[in-house]
Amino acid sequence: MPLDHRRLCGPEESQPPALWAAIAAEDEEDEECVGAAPRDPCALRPLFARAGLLSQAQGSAYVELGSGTKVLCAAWGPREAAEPGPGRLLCEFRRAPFAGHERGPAAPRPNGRREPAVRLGRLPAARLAVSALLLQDGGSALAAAISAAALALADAGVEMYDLAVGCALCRPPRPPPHGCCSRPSQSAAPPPAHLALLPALNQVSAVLGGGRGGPPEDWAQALRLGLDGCHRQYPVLRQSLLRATQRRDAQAEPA
Amino acid sequence: MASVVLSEAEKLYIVHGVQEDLRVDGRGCEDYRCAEVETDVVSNTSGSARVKLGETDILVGIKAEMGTPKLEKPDEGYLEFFVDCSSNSPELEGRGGEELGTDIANTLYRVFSCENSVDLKSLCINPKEHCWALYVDVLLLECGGNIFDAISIAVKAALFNTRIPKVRVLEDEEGTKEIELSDDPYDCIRLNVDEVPCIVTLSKIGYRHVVDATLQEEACSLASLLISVTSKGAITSMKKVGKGSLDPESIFEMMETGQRVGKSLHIALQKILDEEETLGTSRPKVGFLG
Amino acid sequence: TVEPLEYYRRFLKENCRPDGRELGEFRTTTVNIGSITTADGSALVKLGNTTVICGVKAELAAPAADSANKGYIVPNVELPSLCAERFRSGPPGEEAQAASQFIADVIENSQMIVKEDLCIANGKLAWVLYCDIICLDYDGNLLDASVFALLAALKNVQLPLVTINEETGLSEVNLKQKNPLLIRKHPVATSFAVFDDTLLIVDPTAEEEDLATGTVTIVTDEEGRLCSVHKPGGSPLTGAKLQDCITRAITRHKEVKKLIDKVIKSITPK
Repeated sequence: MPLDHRRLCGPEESQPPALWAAIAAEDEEDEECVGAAPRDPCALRPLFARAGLLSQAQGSAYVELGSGTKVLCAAWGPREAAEPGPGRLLCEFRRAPFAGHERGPAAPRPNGRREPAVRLGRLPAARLAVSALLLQDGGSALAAAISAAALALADAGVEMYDLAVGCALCRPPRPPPHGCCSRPSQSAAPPPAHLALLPALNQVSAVLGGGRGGPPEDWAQALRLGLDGCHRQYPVLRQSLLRATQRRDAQAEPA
Repeated sequence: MASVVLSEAEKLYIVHGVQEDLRVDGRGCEDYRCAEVETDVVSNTSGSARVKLGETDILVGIKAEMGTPKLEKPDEGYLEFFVDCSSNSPELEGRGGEELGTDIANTLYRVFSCENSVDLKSLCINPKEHCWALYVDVLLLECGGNIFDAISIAVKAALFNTRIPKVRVLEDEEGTKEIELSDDPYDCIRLNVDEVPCIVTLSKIGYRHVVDATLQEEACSLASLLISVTSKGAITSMKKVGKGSLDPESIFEMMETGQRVGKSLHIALQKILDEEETLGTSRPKVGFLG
Repeated sequence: TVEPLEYYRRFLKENCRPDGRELGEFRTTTVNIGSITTADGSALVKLGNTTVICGVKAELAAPAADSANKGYIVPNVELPSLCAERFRSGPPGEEAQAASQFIADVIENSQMIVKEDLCIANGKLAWVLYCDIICLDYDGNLLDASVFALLAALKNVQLPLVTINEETGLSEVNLKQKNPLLIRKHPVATSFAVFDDTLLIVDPTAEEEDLATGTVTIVTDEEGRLCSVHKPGGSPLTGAKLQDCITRAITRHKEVKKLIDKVIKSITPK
C-alpha cells in the first residue's frame, strides 16, 4: 500500500488482540448467547430515530437499532447541478474505523455500497447529496442507513413519494430451513438480505440479497417477513419526523 | 450503460407488444435470444469463453495464479473479478465505465459469495501458505442489452473450461516445503461447475416482465430484478436495479419466472459445453471473426 | 445577515454575542462516555452545536526497531462531508490534516500517555492505540472538542491483559481481565478568536471563526502548565493578552476536569 501522507500512520502491521485469544473469545460468545434471551426470529430490535439534529446540514437523522447499530445521516439539496441532465441523488456511505470489531479501512467500504433505495422526487436538473456515517455496526447497517437517509431527505424538505424504510433479513447459520430472522444481531451470520419499502404506496424500492441458495418460496417468505418489518417501523420514523418539525416550530415561534 | 433514445410512440409500441406476449423481435416474454458460446478462445489463459447473446458480446478469460489464502479462510483459494467495459462506447470511457465495471464486479462477487458455488477448498494447495487464485477478467466487447446474464453465462463457461495444473507439496527433513509442478501438461484439476449460478435479469415492462431485454426494451423498463439461479433452481442472490420501484407481488412472480427460466438456461448451456467437450481438439475454432 | 461583520461588531461593543453569550463564556459542554461498544474506548463531546466523537481501537504490533520499548498512538481527525457542506468526501483535507497533527503534538508534549507504558514485551510486542476523531457537526472550535473527546475516550479505554507464554514465545490475551489505561496528564484545550486584532472571544462558533482575524489555542494540564500554544497566523497578539488567555485556559481546565470526573464516576459500576 502506498504511504498515506495525509493521515498519521501507525505501524505497518497490527493485529486486533482478539486474534490471539481465539479460544477465549469463542467461549465468551457462547456465554453471550445463553445470557441474552434468544430473540424471536420475527422480533425487531427497538428502533430509535431522531431527525433534524445536525446544525450544519439541511436535513439530518440518526437511527439506532437496539443498542447495536448506530447510523448518522445528513442531506443537502436540491442544489443546482454543474452540468445539465436529469436530477441526481449522490449517496455516500462511510464506516467509522471503530465501527466494527476489527478496525476497518477508514475509506468507504471496499465494496462501495451505494444506497439502493431510490427516492424519486419530482425534481428538475438538480443534485441532492446524502452522506451517511456508520458509527457502530451491530448488524443491519445498510437497512438502518436507508431509513436514516430517507428521514434526512425528508427533514431537508425534499419532495418525495414516500419515506423509504429499510429492513434486513438473515438466515440463521444452522437451519430451521424455512426460518428467517429479521434484524440480525450477530454480524457473523451469512450475507443477509436487505429490503427497502415505500410503505404508503406498497412499492419495494430496493432488494439486495445473497448467501446460500434457496427455492423461491423461501425467498418469498423472507421478503414477506421483511415487508412486515418495514411496515412496523414506518410509524416510528414518521413520529420522529413529526417531532423534529414540532421542535423546529417551537424554536421559531419566540423569535 | 450504452443507451438508446426512444420516442414515446416507440415505447408504447414495445409496452403493448409485451402485454400481448409478443416482443418486437418475435420472442415471447420468457424467451432468450439466440446465444453463441465458445470456450477455449484465448490460448494463454487457464480458461476462457466468449458468449454472444444477440448483440451483446462478452469475452471472459480466467488466469490461475499462485497466491496466499485469505486470513479468515486459510484452507480455501479465492476468485477475483475484474470487468473492463471501456472499449464499448465513448460514454463508458473513464469514470462511467469504471463505475459500471465495479458494479458488475460487485454483483459477481455477491453471486459467487454463496459457499458452494465453486469448491474453493479444491483450490487450496497447502493451508495458510499457498492456494490458487483465479483472476476472472471480463471484457465487454459489445453491449446490446442484458449484459449481466451474458456475463454470468460466459463466466460459467470459462470456469468449465478452466484447467489448473496439478502441484504437489514436497517436504524434506528440515521441514522446508517445496512446490513441484506436475510434468504432464494434461494432468490438471477441473472445476465442478454444477453449482455455479447464472444470472437471470427480469425487466418490468408495463404490467409484465421479460427476460433477456434488448437495449430498446431496457429503455422502456424502469426497474429490473437480477436473480442468480443454480442449475437445481435455488436462488442464491437477488438485486433490484433501475430507478423505479416494484410491487411486492410482482417480485414474487419474477422470482418464480427467474427460477423456471434459469433452470432451462442451465440445461441448454451445459448441453453446449458437453458437446464442445466431446469434439475435443478436433473442433474447428471460430474465434472472433466468425 | 447582509453585513455579518458589522452585525457582530455591534454586539461585541455591548460585550455580548448574537447567541446570547458573553465574550468569555463557553457554550454548553456535554460529554457521553462509552457509547460506542465496538470501540475499546469512546466519547462523544458536544460544545453547543459542535459534535465530535472519538473512538479508540487497541491492536497489537511489534515496536519500531529504533524504539523497542515504545508503543504507538495514532490519532487522526476526520472531517467527513456530513459535518458541514464545505467538506468534500475523499482523503482528508488541509484542515483535517492540521488538526490531526495538532492532536499528535498535544499527546506528545503533554505526556498524557507515555509510550513506554504501551509496551508489553521489549522489542516484541506493544499496543497500538488508533484514536479516530470524527467531527459529526462542525460549528466552530474543532480543536477544543477534539482534545476533550480524545481525553474522555482514552479515560474509557480498557485493555485486556496480555502475557507472553515463556515456553512457546507466543502472546496470550485474556479478554476477561481488563485494565484501564494509565493517563498521566489531563490536557485541556481552550480556543480564542481574535476580533479586529484586539478583542478576544472564547469558544468561537463557525461563523465567528470565519469573521475573526485570528485564532489561538492554549493547552494546559492539571498543574496549570502549558502543553501547547497554537497560533496559526492571523493578527498579532500582545504578551499581556496571551497571558490573559493562559489564565482563562487554566480556569477552563478546572471546569472540564470536573465535568469529566463527574461523568466517569456516573458510569463506573459501584
